[in-house]
Amino acid sequence: MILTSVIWLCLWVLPLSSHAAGAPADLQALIDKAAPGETVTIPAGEYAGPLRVTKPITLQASGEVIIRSATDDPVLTIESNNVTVSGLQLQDSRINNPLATLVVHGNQNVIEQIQIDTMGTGIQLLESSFNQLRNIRVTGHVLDPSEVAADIGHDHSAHQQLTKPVQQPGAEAKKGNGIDLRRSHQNQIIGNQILNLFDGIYLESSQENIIEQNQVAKSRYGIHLMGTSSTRIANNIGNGNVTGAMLMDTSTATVTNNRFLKQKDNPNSQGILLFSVTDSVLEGNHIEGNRVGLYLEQSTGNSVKNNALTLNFIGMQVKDTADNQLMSNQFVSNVIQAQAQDSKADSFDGNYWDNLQALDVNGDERSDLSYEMNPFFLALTDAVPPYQLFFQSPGFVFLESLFSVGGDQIRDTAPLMSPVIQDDLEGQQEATVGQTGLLGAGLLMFSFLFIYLGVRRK
Amino acid sequence: MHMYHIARRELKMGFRNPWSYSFMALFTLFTLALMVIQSRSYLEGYTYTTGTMLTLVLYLLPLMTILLSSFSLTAEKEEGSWQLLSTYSLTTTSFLLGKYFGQALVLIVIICFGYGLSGLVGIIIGAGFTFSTLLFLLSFSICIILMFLGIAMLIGAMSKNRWQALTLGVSIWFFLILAWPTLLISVLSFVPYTWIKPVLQVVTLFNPAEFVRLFSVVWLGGGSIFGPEYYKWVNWFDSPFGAVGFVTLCFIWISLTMLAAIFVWERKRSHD
Repeated sequence: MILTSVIWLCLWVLPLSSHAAGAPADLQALIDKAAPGETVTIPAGEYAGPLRVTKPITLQASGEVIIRSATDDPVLTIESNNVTVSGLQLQDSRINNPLATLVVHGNQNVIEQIQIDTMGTGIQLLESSFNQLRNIRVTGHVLDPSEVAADIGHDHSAHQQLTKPVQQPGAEAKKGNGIDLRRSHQNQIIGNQILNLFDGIYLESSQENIIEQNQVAKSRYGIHLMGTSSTRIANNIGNGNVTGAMLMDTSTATVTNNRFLKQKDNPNSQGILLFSVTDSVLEGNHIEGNRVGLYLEQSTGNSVKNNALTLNFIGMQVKDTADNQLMSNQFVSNVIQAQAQDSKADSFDGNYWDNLQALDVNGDERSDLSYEMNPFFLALTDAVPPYQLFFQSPGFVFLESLFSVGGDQIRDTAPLMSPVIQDDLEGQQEATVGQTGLLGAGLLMFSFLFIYLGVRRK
Repeated sequence: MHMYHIARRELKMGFRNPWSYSFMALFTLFTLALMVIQSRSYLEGYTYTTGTMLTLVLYLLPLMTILLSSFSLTAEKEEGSWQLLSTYSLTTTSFLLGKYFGQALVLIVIICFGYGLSGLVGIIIGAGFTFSTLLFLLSFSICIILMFLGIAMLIGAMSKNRWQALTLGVSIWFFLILAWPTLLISVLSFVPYTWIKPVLQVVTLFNPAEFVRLFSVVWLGGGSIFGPEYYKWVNWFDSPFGAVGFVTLCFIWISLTMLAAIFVWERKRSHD
């Protein structure tokens, strides 16, 4: 009797362990057994979470290691200092759980080459400092209602119901953040890729963190700072998010050499938004094809230099700001280059505006005609938002020009004569030259033919 | 059949009219000038250049259409050719529709000349419109022409002579193109705040220049610039339903103005 049950047990257990490629089924036991400082190598295979690391060990994958969520706990929790985790794939199907797929509660940990697929937040750092997060890929799997609508064909009533629950039957899954830091300082977040989440990288009440070379796409805000100081944001790329970088209640941030492209589909989109930001530096950023390139509100003492704002619907909007210095920026081919309101104490001198009919009398490479930023549209739509419908309406352009005669508007009194930054867009139109020529010639021939038919006498 | 002959006659008269050529020269000159000013021109999508071109087209083309076409109608009355034509078994409907199609062709030929030349010159000087931009501007302009041609026919039917047509035409142009936002903003300051958005949406349907412009900007991918207030609208515009709705709206507009023109012309005919 006992023998048969042992055999039955073996038969039942064996396929499982072979499924996990000969690895011990209980990964947690393996971790618990390891002495501090030891390296635990996880054999390739699929495992069920949750895992909890509470001592300074190195967790390393050998081959493809997939860990899936099985309970309501995070897939991996680190509650220790000096832990290194690398090479894992974490797959999380929990919905609307406040805790992320990977939760870090400790200092000086290194987390690298992790692939996270989540229905909520990817990584959470809670009161954790001096950690390094490198080469992590976080992919969110919550679909937007509009995407779901697109999947089931173009039902135009679906457009009307943006809040309709569409995910699973039952609860509607909400997106979480890619990497989420709360009260965590001096961490390094470098070279990560984040796709389809709420905020790509979210920092709250955190100081002196470094965010470099990350890429965020299809999320709400690429990088979102709330109440941080001395954050360094450099060489990141934001593409197709609602807003590329959103800085709020932040001081002494450095935002340099980032690229924010095509944040334009949402009616609240911006390349970079600064609200209540003080003493920060924005330099060398490339802001292209956004709804509003750079938006500044209630911010003081910032330096905005050498940024290229290209092909945005509105290059820059500035509102209720003071003591900011904006110079050597380049405004090229934005539908409206810049609008400013209640920002008289700022300095806008010495930028390049490609639509300025510039005139340099004394040869100092500065135009003696100033560039004016019309506050009329901003002021009007601020009071009555529905008037945004008049954006670039010919009658509105006319009305604006009536209001811009004289007056003490905000202006760049010494615009640059030539652009400062060379950008790489020149080749874009080469491809269609042949087609354009053909179309042009065709149109000309069409018009000549009909003029001849019209004028000819029988 | 009558309609076809009237249209052919219109085409002939159109290209023997010096005004057609002066408008052609004006339109071509402005298009070329604007293109040349864009020294660094990458023109895909909704950019400074496309925005400015839309504004230029909206200033010039409606005026051009209204003047050329309403004058062509009043000329028929003033020069007595209508009195002659009306002795034949020619219905007002086929007469005015013939005029409409003939004038449409004349105006389209004029803008084709302008855009064609700009396309070629752009290649020669190495900075011009891209293929898609040129095609977009062409379709936008044709749309504007077809819409304002209906209005022009109505003006022509209502006016006794060129002077009346000029006065009426310029006032309507000024009202729809230049004064539109100013008037709306001042009038809407008297209505409750919550009414502003719906009123604005409804009256926009009555201004072809505005709804063609809005649809074009959405089509260029710039719909988000109109703000969260119109998000659903813009989304709908962007879907295939939006395109069908837009074409239907254009068709209704042209039909209504033409029906009105035919009605007015018919009444004057019976008075004669």
